[in-house]
Amino acid sequence: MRPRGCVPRGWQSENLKGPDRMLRITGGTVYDPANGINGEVRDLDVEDGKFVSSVTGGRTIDATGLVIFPEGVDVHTHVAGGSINFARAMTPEDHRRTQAFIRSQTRRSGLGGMAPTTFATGYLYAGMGFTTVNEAAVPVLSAPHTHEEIADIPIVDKSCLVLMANNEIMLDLLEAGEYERAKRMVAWHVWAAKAYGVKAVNPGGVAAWKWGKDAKQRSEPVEGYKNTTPGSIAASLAKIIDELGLPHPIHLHCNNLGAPGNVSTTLETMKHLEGHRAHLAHLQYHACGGDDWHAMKFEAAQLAEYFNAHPNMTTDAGAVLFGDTVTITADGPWQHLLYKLTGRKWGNLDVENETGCGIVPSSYRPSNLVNAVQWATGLELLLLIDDAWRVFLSTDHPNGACFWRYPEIIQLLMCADYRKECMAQLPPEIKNRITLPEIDRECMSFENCPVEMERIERAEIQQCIAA
Amino acid sequence: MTCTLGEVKNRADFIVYWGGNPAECHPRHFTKYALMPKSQFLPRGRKDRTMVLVDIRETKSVKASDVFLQVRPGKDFELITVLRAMIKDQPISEAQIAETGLSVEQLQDFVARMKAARFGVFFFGMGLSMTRGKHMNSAALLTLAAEMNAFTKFVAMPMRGHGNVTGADVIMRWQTGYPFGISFNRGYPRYNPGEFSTVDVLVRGDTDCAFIIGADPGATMPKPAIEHLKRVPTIVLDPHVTHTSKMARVHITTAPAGISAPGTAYRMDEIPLPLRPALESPYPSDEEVVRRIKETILKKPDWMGERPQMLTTQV
Repeated sequence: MRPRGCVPRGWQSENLKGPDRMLRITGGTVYDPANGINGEVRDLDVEDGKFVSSVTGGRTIDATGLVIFPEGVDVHTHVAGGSINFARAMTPEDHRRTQAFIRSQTRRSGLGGMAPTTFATGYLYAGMGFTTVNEAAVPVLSAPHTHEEIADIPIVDKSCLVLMANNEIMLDLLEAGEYERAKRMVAWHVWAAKAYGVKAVNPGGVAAWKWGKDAKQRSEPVEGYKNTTPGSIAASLAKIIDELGLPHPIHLHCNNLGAPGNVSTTLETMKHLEGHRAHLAHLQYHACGGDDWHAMKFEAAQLAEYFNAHPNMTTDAGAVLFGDTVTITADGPWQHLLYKLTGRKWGNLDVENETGCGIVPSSYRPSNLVNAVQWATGLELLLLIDDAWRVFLSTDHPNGACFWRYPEIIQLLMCADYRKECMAQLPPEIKNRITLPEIDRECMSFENCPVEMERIERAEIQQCIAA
Repeated sequence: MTCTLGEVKNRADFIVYWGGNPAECHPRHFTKYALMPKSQFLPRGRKDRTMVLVDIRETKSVKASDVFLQVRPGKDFELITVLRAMIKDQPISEAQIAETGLSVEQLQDFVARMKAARFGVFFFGMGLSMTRGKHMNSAALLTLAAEMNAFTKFVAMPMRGHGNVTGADVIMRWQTGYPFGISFNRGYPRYNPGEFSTVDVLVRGDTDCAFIIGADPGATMPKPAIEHLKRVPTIVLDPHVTHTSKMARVHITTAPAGISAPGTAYRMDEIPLPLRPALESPYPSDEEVVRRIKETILKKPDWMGERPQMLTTQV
């Protein structure tokens, strides 16, 4: 049984009476990989929010000519809280040029774009067939603010993850070897922030950023500590989360995001986490090879190979699409670097005790070699990881691209010819840096459907109609 | 480049107040956050911190400062620009420095102190953001703070006042994308300070009704704006009798927020603070009054008529 509150609003059986408990969807083409249904035209009957063999009475929806497929789950996105709200404040020029939602008696007004407003966020996700989104970074101090924004995102179900890997109390406890107390602290934070799980961002690095420093090496002590290293923080947190039995594993944003050569850091982190469950967030940003920006190349194959062999892990791609966006991350030092690289607006917000966030508007251009490599790497990860149930479609919204551009990624994954067409825009130096041209796999929606395994009981796939 | 006040309390060893008089306007700021508190990283409290005050005149805050820089009125932008050049060792002429009303030695000392700090913070007040140059002054100071990060940790934060202004700003941002100065007259939010800000709308006489919650424009706004408020039906929700409520067509007395009505207030660093009421009030809360008005309006027929769900290009 799915946890309460995951059932779309209005579907709770106690709220519905008589014929309203029943629903019939007729004539749609159904795709359901978990149950081996691949493009059959058939009728679906729903009673009390569950599929049944037949119902009598109730409402009927004619879905002829439409596709019915399982709901989308965005496992890593930034749609509510202090950081995205900071980004909204920083990008009024984008709000003016983007699509506008007009108020009616049943709908609130809002704006789309790089950092959509809360009401627009709900409408845009629902329009793509998504029913669940996970706000991936919540500082415990401003968690009440995040929940107020979440309450203003309509239609979809929401959850959030509380940030833990740079918490000073936590680091002090780990430094003193007080593992049991650290575990209780994690439990309290999850309760206090009303979170679904724990996110670890650049373990130790954000704490060091409070003094304007970063944590580049996994095995060197964090600024201000003697024994605690980024590696030990991640490993302890993964263990704590497994022991607490949280449904979602440690949600890890590794150290050294975006830097050339960081693939070694990522692989080392993955090795440290053996024996524990782990979710590696936006893997694309952690798959760079080479020694500097000019020599930057793609190492997705190496990562995918390791990942394929280790079923304890899940990941999301953090894919990139060309165009304008705004980058938001709790990884303050990286954003300072990005500000220095691009010379664009920079917002930074440090929060006491735990975390901070940096915001820099950014454009991904096909003519830029680094951007082109990032674009290819995101797609390669999605294509090279064999087990489609362990890799999620994500752009780390709004970092790689805005979530409402997911259909473009799906087209790129499903159509090799379209990919080739897009690759023609890339600079010639990209040869030998990526292997995307050699991949002909075309993901059909049947084999690649982004649904989080633990959360959704397959038999209960809710109706979700996309035109 | 900003941070929460707890960061200042715990880490800031170099504090600059620019264009403000915290001793009189934010009397708890020194003791709760910025100067006095002892913390893990600053165990000796005030002794571990340096405070610089930049202002056009000697105020009561000067006594609390270690260094007072008296800038010539209206020359804040020039001073910030000179500092931006000096931190990067760019050449500056004596005339440019003299224009700011300060000496080369004073500025060199200031730059050296900024660079030597472990964690520096600029708090800027209305003396910077509301004098000649306005938002350009604030932008210059934010840029200076950003550029200081090449040398050490530096942040900047506006000194906000007037109750829960930050809360209104935060909520408008998540619901509409903009902090203030928003027009909904085309069914979706548009932003243009100077055109859609309350004072401009009132001065032009663009509204045919005014609904004022917990504010007293009658005491602060220019005369033409007040004249317009008197002309149109003005509805005021306020626990007190104010200049605005006296000229309003309707004044609904509400329970004072935080004392008799629960809710959330946002501190100036955008940290939400839950408010638990201490006293009971016979009056309804602002929220209840607004909700009941909204319910009544919803019963009226839809006045906007046919319209698209969404516009791909704004008009």
